[in-house]
Amino acid sequence: MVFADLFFLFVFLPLCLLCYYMAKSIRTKNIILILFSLLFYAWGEKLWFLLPLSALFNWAVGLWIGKTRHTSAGKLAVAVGLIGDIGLLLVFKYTDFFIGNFNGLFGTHVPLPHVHLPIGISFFTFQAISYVLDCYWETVEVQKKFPKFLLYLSLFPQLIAGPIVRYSVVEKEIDKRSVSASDIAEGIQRVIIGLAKKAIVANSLYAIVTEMLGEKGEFIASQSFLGTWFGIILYALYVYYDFSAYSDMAIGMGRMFGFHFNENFDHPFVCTTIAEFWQRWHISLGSFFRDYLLYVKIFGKNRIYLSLFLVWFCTGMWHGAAWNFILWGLFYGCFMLFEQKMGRKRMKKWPTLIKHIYTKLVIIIGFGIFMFVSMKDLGIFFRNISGVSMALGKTGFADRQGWSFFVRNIFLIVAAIACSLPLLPKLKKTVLQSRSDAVYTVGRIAAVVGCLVLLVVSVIFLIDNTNNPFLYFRF
Amino acid sequence: MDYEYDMDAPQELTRAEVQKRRFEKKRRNLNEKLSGLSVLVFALAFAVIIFFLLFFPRPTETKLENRKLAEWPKFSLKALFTGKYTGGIKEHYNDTAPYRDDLKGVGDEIRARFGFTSKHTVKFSNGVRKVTEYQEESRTPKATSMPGAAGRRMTEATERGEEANQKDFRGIDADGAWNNGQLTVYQDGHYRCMELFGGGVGSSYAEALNYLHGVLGNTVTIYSMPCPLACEFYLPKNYADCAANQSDCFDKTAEKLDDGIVSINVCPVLAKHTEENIYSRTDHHWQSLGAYYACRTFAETAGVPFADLSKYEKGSWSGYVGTMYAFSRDANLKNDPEEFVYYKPTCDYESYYYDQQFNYSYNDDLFWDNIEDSSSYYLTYIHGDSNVVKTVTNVRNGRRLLVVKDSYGNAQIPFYSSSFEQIIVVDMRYFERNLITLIETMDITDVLFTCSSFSVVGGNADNLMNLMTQDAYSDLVDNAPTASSTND
Repeated sequence: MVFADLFFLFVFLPLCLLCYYMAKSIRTKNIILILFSLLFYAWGEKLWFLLPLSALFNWAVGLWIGKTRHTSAGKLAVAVGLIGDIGLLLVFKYTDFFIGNFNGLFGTHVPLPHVHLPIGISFFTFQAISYVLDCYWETVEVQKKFPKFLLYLSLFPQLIAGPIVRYSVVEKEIDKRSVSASDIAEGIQRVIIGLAKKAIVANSLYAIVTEMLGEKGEFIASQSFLGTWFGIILYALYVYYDFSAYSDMAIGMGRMFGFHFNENFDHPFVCTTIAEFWQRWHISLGSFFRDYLLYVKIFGKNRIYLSLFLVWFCTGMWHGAAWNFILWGLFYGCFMLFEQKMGRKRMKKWPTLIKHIYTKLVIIIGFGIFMFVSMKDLGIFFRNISGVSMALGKTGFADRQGWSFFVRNIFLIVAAIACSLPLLPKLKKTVLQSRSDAVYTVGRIAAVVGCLVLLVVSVIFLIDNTNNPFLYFRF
Repeated sequence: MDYEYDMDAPQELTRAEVQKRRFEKKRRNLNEKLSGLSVLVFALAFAVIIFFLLFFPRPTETKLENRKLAEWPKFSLKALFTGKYTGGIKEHYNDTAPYRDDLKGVGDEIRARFGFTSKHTVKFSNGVRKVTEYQEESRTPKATSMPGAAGRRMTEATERGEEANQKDFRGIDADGAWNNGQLTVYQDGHYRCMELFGGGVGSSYAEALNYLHGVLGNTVTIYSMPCPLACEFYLPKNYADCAANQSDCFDKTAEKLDDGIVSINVCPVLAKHTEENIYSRTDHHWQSLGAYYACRTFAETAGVPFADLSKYEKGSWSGYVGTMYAFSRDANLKNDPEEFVYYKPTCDYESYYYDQQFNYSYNDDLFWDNIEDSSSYYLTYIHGDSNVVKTVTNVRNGRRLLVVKDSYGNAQIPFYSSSFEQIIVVDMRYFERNLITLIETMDITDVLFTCSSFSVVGGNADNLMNLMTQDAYSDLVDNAPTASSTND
């Protein structure tokens, strides 16, 4: 099941909320959430049993760690937990990748098993890993009750596309939480905004991107210099809206159940350094690798460069079982290293315009690497954006189709860029902090009316769409 | 005097702090009230939508997309545990939203007004990308040979060939826009949406026709008359590189045909009538008039009589918005409907409809008049593509025509009612019996292959060979009420 879906929004979620709010005790509420979460996961998924099995495994590892924490058995428990979780991910997500590369390297013809990728495996596996390590480092108390741990791992708002919620964030709220009218109102508004981001903006951007560049970038060869830049900028916006939409809906739904998840996107395109970009983009993943991988001693020592390489290699590989994703991760790793060497103080002295040009160029080119899974198409992409294709006469500076898309979608593009900036949050803050009750009230009413309009338009756009899963669904 | 400082005594607040606390309390109360109201409003909105989706009637098919909608899945334990059953329920719920097609139209209007491209992508076998490779052109069409009295027929075609071409839209720039790979252009005050031909040569098509010719020899005359798409005549100059030349494709395909097969290229003929209503603006088909000119050319080539247009009863339906709206979802087309014009023969004929196994189904007119959905007016011709149709006329010339077609052939059939004793029509995609058996059983004298450019170069042509070889050992019986396959 996905969130931008009529069935989820108008059957599953209302039923879940109804049962949840009717329950009196926190215990009953938790049971309802567990049942609905497992139902959510199992709906349309044939390997649904992996989630409860993974929960059981990691819960047991947690108990084991709790009893043996400061001994070598504790270390063994961690190793077993990590091997189990990472192994699960490797088998289901990377088997074809490894076999394909093995065949390519050694000229063999081992058939690809095409293992079915269970939805959300990258997310709940990482959550499990964070729990195991947090238990070992005593950042959290070991959860002795399996249903509570299962609730943490399976909670459906963040189950299949993040954010990667740490156990410490929800530890207390599992046992004690309350939901006020304000929480529900904020939650619903967040859900509607996320839905509109997906159904209206992301899907519309995707339509243009696929028309211009193809679903997998297969049309890149026929794109002009400007057309390529335009297409990739739209693709970057599409990825942002698609992924942040899901996070918005997850956070909004969590709020409606009394959980307060951390933000996962913080207007990443306003960054002035690449380091800042990764502090604003997919925050939960970046912080996961920072906290659990970056400072891990390798062969007994802190090895900065190797750690950086590992972090960005894993970041890339987490996003997809293909070389372009690894290249994408390492691409960012290079710029992180560059900025580290340059030093924060020196970079602060750069003119703001230069910083923005630098970061936007890196981000846009990065998304080009992200998009083109085929190395051949990736090569053509680089040729196009650098102007080499134009110099070789293979393509022109601009083309009519690209111009037509730009003109016909100018409002969408302007709105997409404007809404990716923190303008609306600033406006919201101004209204909420206004000492005038009239301004505050009008602002709140306007927000409700705006959300209702977005809801209706989103539903109409969704009806137009039978199946359009979120981008990060494949992870 | 000494004073002792009492930590437990209430601290006196400053006036500012008191005001701040009062404001915060007041704001909290206002927040709770507004939040409560917001929750009520949102709950009501959701309740209305839930009620609408749950209790309003759900459609079973979509005319806009021309398909059946997802049905409620069949239950089985296997389907349940593999997720297929639950996935099917979701798909059914999402796919069969009440007033689906109407709401899609509203979505298109919103997109058009606020500058959004429609999200649908419809793929065609020949693609709609800019033509980057161009098939080697053949500027000199291969001379076609034809049996019988060739001279007079060719002369007549030549005389008509001296008619001047009408407006060459291909030489003029026009405003245009892309929607889902379809190009909508604005010409002469109206919007026209076109599929774009990506190029190719009908190798499979030629192979199948050559095979048939090899089997039948000179007992039957085989004709090839591919039908050009509208973009051959209406693609503006500024989009010239977005589609391949179909006339060249037809000539190149003709070169691959055996000498005994008669090849007819109607592109030069239609080029003389571009200002007339020969192609639909909002549908991927041609109009009846375009088919008329093609049929006339075929009849002249085949040496059969052909009734002038004035002998037909002209009819029209207004408000026609055809398939190109469904493909492109361009609201400009929806808001610029056209006339659907048809020409009914005034001569006598009887038409018999069969299923694809050639079992007789019913007897009815060539035209289906009671079409409620204006986007489906093209179905009026021979009731669409789902039947094999036999038409028995009052022509007595010993000529029996088999038409092997795609939907472009449908509009042609009424025009042959003055030319052949019998016309049998099979669809190249759906016919399930053996074509050679059909030809032999029904005493066919002429076989016309007529289909759109896409079918010539695309997947439909691959099925032609199947028609020649499938079901080769079964007898074919015509069980229509006429009983006999000969005219009395």
